[in-house]
Amino acid sequence: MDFLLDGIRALGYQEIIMYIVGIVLIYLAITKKLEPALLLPMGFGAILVNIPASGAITQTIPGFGEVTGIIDWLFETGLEASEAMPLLLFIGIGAMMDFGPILANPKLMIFGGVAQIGIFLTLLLASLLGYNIQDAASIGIIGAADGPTSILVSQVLKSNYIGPIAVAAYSYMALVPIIQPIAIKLCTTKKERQIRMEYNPKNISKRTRIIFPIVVTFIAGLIAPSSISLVGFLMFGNLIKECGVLDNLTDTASNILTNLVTLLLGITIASTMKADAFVQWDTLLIMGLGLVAFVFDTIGGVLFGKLINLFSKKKINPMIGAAGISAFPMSCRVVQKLGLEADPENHLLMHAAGANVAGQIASVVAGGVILTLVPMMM
Amino acid sequence: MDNVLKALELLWKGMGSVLIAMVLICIATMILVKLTQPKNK
Repeated sequence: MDFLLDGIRALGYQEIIMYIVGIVLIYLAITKKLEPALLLPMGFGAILVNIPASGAITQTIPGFGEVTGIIDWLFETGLEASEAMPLLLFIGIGAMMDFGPILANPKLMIFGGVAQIGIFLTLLLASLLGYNIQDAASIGIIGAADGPTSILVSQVLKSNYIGPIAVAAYSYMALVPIIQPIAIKLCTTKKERQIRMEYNPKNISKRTRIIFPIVVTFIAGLIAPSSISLVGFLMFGNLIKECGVLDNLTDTASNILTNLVTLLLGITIASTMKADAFVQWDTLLIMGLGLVAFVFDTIGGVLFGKLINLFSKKKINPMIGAAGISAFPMSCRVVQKLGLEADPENHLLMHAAGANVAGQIASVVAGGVILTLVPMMM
Repeated sequence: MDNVLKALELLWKGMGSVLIAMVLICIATMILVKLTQPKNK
């Protein structure tokens, strides 16, 4: 009966740290409602894979050889071999997205591009700290503020830090309402936050909405062919929604498919949260760099808004630039709230929503650009 | 040092590519909206 104590004897401090990490993630998901659909499965998965000799991960059993565990199998099949999970999730996200705000004011598209600066500045910072170019790019992509893109890019680039990157990406997305106001207030005056912007509501025709995802797929695909799976699946989901003849598929993509993939993605990521790989100083450093990426995104967007105001007669509220990240709708709500705080009559939601939707497109384009450029440099 | 130079190149080329892509999408969207929106009578 001695074998009953084998598990307890095999417990080390690293496993115990991972149980605490798992419980903290579950706590944040349930009590604080921080991205619960992802953080809860990730937290529970972190416990599952760190039970000594866990049957959920692949083990070598004397006399039997290698026995494949379900979480490692899900990782190898759904992420490592095909990146299928994040890509399938993009179909669902596309089916939920409304490009109306950006179609009403396409100029806001530029803000989405500029706010990706955090990705590349963090990438530079990570390389200065000694990470190789694949890991630096994977850490930088946390600044896309887009969980599936972060997972996909770090997986394709074979980063050693997929677990910490996924935890950072999803945690900071959920913390946007805390991170962004601090960063925005750091680089704007109350007077700038009070700038009002005129809003002219526009009805967008069905034909425009149908052609838009096809046009974006062509442009993004021709500029960064590696982005085609990311952008293409996102736009495919949106086309299903906008075409108006596939209501059942839209419903399936935006509900069942999204829920199913999200459910499995969280627990699959736990495959990269094994104690020996996760409990290291690099994890804390990556969490720190992820935070820096979100701050750089925000400040970069705001400074671009200020730059435009130097040359434009019609002033824009520079906070709109901060909404150019992918975290939708958190980021545009932050801008709306700060605008109302500075001036109770200052409604910026629709402008911020346009920039925010642009950020969703730009983040997948940025992911594709990184996937195109990094292999060329290796 | 080699990695830092590569990162600088990525910053330049990557950010440039993202901005070019977004400007092109912006222009294409403006043309698309112009061409496909019903005229107000």
